[in-house]
Amino acid sequence: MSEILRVEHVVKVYGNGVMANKDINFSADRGEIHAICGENGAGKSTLMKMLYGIEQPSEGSIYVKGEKVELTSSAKAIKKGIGMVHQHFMLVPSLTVAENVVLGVEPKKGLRFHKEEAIRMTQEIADKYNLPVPAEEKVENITVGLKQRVEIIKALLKGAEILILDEPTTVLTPQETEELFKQLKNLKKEGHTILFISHKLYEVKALCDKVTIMRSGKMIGTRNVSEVTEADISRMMVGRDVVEVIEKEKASPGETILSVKGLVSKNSVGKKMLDGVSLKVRKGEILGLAGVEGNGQHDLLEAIAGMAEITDGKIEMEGKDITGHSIREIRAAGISHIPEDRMITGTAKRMSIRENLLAGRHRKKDYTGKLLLKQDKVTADADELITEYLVKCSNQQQEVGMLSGGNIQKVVVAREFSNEPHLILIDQPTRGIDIGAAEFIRKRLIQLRDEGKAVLLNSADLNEVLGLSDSLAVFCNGKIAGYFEDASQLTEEELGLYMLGVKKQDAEEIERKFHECGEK
Amino acid sequence: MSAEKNKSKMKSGGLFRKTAMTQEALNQRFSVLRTTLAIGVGILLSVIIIAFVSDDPLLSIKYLTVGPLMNLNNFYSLVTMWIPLVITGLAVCIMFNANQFNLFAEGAFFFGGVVGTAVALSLNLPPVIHPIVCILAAAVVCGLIGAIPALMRYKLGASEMVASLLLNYACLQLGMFIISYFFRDSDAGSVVSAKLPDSAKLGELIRRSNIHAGFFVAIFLTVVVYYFLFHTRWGFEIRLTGQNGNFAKYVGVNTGFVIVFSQILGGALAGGAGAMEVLGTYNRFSWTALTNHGWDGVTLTILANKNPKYIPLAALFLAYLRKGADLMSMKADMQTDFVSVIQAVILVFLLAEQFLAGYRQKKTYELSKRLEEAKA
Amino acid sequence: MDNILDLIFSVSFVFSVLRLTTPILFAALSSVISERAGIGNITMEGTMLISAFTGVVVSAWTGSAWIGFLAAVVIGGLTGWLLSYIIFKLVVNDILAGTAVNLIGSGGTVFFLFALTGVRGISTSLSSKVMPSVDIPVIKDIPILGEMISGHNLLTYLSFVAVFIIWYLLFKTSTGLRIRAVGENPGAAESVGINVYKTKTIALVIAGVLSGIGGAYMSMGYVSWFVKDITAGRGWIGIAAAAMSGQHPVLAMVASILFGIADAVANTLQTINLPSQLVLMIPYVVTLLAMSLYAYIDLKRKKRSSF
Repeated sequence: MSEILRVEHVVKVYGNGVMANKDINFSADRGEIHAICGENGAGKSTLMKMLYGIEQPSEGSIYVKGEKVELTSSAKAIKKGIGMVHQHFMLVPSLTVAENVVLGVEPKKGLRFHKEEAIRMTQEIADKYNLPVPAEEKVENITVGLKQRVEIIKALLKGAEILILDEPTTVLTPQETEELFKQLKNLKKEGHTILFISHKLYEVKALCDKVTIMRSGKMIGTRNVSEVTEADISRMMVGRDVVEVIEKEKASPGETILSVKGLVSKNSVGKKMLDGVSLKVRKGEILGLAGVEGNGQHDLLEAIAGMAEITDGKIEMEGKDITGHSIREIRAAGISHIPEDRMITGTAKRMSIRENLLAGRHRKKDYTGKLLLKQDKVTADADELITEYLVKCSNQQQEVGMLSGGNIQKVVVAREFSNEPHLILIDQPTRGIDIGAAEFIRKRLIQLRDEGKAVLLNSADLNEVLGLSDSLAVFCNGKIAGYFEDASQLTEEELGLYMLGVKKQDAEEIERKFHECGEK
Repeated sequence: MSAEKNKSKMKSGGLFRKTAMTQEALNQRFSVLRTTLAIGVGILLSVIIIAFVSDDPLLSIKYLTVGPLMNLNNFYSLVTMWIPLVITGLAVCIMFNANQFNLFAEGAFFFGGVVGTAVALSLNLPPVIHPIVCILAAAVVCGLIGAIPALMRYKLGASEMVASLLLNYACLQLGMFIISYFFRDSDAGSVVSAKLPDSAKLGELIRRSNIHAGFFVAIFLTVVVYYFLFHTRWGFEIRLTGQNGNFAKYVGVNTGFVIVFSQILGGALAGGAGAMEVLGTYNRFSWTALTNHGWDGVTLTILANKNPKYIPLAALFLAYLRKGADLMSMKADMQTDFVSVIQAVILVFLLAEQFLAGYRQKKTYELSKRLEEAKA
Repeated sequence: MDNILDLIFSVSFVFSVLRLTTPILFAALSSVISERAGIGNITMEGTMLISAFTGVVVSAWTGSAWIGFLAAVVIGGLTGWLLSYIIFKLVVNDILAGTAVNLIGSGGTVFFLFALTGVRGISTSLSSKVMPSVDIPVIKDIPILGEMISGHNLLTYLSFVAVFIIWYLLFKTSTGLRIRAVGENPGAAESVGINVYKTKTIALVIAGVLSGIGGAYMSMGYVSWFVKDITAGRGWIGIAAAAMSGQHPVLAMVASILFGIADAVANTLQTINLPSQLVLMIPYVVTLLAMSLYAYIDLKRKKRSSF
């Protein structure tokens, strides 16, 4: 088989200094389905964006069919025969399937848009590759599986020989997935190359010829799928390059403070994210949530914090049912929440540090009189928190948006930690911040645990989640796949197998374990 | 030992403080520069237009620049113009702080005038109480109408902007109907209301001027709205919601309520201002079209950078420009309406994010380079 | 009561409905194409004023109605381009940019009228020209119908032709396809190599041209002079009609005719001393209700489709 795509020594450094790809070498042959595996943040999307011309490499080169190419825009990538099916579809809902397919290369007949020709063109591709679509139906009326098919046809119509599919199965039902695989195999037979991004190992095994594994921006290796087991792939994907030791005493957990029973929740677009999750959190312990991103860890925190729609199950905080309560009531029950994204949910970037620290407690008697805010108290507290949390700023009036990421996160943490919480929900506490700030936040978290607070931690950083957690719940597919009362007993390898769905404890066992520790 | 520690701490803190302050100072300087330049361009443009158009440019410019201060009468009417501008500016300011493009202030001002007139002519009350009742009635009615676009946005996701525009015209027609069918002075040639009773009128503060008690109301409201927005928990919630609705929700703010509430307040303020304008400066209701006060409120809010503290100053600028142009048109051969053109130019310059962006980037780059060097 | 009905069901009533619908229809079409491109364009009132003024001045100056009309159309298109420049190149919120353009329209026209001609407020002293009225052959000889729909100003006919043109443009040409695509999902359009800025500018220039013709009609057809605020809110009504139609050119025509009827009824009622204002209020209230209903249905649909 001949080589169609080669990536040589590619390095990508983003404007903010983050190195997302480090010396990537990789090649794909004509007519193969090539899986790219890696955890979130491993650098897969950056690599794909460079292949589709959305980002440009800082160093290194890309060759298509042996020819060196400069992919400075999607249009250029399309011309070189690279097509991409994004995870979020790039379709116009009110246009028909055929209109979406030909958008950008519309056939004309005089002044007119040649609708019949567009339908014919769509139909031709659909027939050739056995991808049936209702060409005259509006996109808003078709199923998700069909929408994906439309995206594939769109790319093929523009002459794509290399097709990049970004986690295509996350939005599909099992039947649709099966259908998609059949079609992809068909495309392969026609000589197309498919780059299949996924972290579902059984899918990789079922569909792909080769698998390339990435971890923290580096290429770990390429293997023939037939020669490796799922456990092998998992071992290559999950792991730490350097084991950072986070110093802490052994926890001495107290009574159960939060108990979650059979929780089912939906995200903002109505997709089921939690599928019957039960767990207990005790005073004085950090319960870590591990898992590949998007498997429910984040959604559990959002659901407890009152920010997601709960369709079934029960949440009890200190014996009180808080299921479906308003965010204000949940906060009043002693729950603090550090959200996943500090810029979208955690702060108002055009407001001052002082006001960002005030938000949420502005109704408390300490901070407001009958009419006016107690500005002296607000000022004094803000100064105190800035000092205590070592927030580097000129003064408390500075806009939060002008601070560095680490200092913004410190502002969020300072606000949430100082609310006298009984339970802290903390989501990606140190993502994208400098080492100094990260260390500081971790130390504070351990300190709070030692003071007897309960912590529920979600982090995609393995060092962090293994190092900080006292006990650990591993998520897979919206469910808890395994619970480990003593996180320090768990090896990375073992963790990887649970995260990627290779191993699984049964539900009763998990419940029994939680029950036992709740009793202690 | 501890002194040394302190010293080194101070040193590092001091260095950092200095550099960070420079960045903040840069931003502030930039914002002042931009406002000054925008107004400067506006004034320059006025001078150019006058130079081209006027037969006697110097006389025209004289009236434009110092006219409002040339005699007491001119000054009085400048102040009279200023009063309603301040209050509608505050009304729009509240709504824009909640990030709501509700333009009902325009209709509310008009309809407030109608309600004020209607109450003034229907009730028989002692002086002082009479106008207060009229103004409050106008505020309540317009506040409630102002909730319509707000609810349409919050409950249904419809555009509050289009809804409020429609409401403006509905209120214009309804108002004209109320005046012409219930309160019309049939002896008058045009559609005007009957004469307002003296008891309902706002007293003149200065004899033979049009300056009415609304002057104090405007100042009072500026203080109240400023304190409300920046020193109360409710105002804080409005600004939080306007700056980042997700964040507001996450800290437990009922953003739906805040959105509706801010627009009720905006409608009420503009409505009250309309009633006050009629009772303070006219003998009868004689408007036959919308008065543009709501749109002026938008200009003022932008000029004041959404801070109520600066609304009176912005209103003074606009009123001065208008009065000067009025005088210019009376005494010299110029037309007043060019003020709108100036207003538009200033607006665009103030709003354009790209205006001076190159300069700003250059300065920020230089600054960050200096900081790097300082660190090394 | 019979009296009113007689007035309403008269030949001249239908004639005046069409006459009153024309400017609203142009503004509505202008709004439709802007909204379809995803821009909150509120400049119809201002652009109409600018074009109405330009038409009068240029036609008086050249002595030709056609050159005046052409100038009005060109300046309308330029206003659309200016708006696009302010919104996308200077990066200004579309509503506030529109406010600025409207200010230029309302104040600038009166000012320049005086600066150029020395008259204040109204242009009756200028010998400006009007666009011709047209008798439609054959139809003009049909009794009643002929009286109703023949003999209108050329621009009135053009407004109805424009409905078809805009419909054709939006739904039958590739330009229209692109306009709708950038309006609904600019990311998708960009990912297939469509220049979003260019496409939106085209839409705004067309919108400006439509408003421009509407403005020319006001001063060179509806009446034969320019006066301060001659459009009297018709631009806003056009926006309302477009909103009521769900941004569809044909339905926008229906909505515009409804506003035209309301206008005509109000005029008729005024002559017999009935509350015309209430009639004039109806279209706005109806639009508000229609908008709410439309938003409600849309909300339900979105909720359903998310599962």
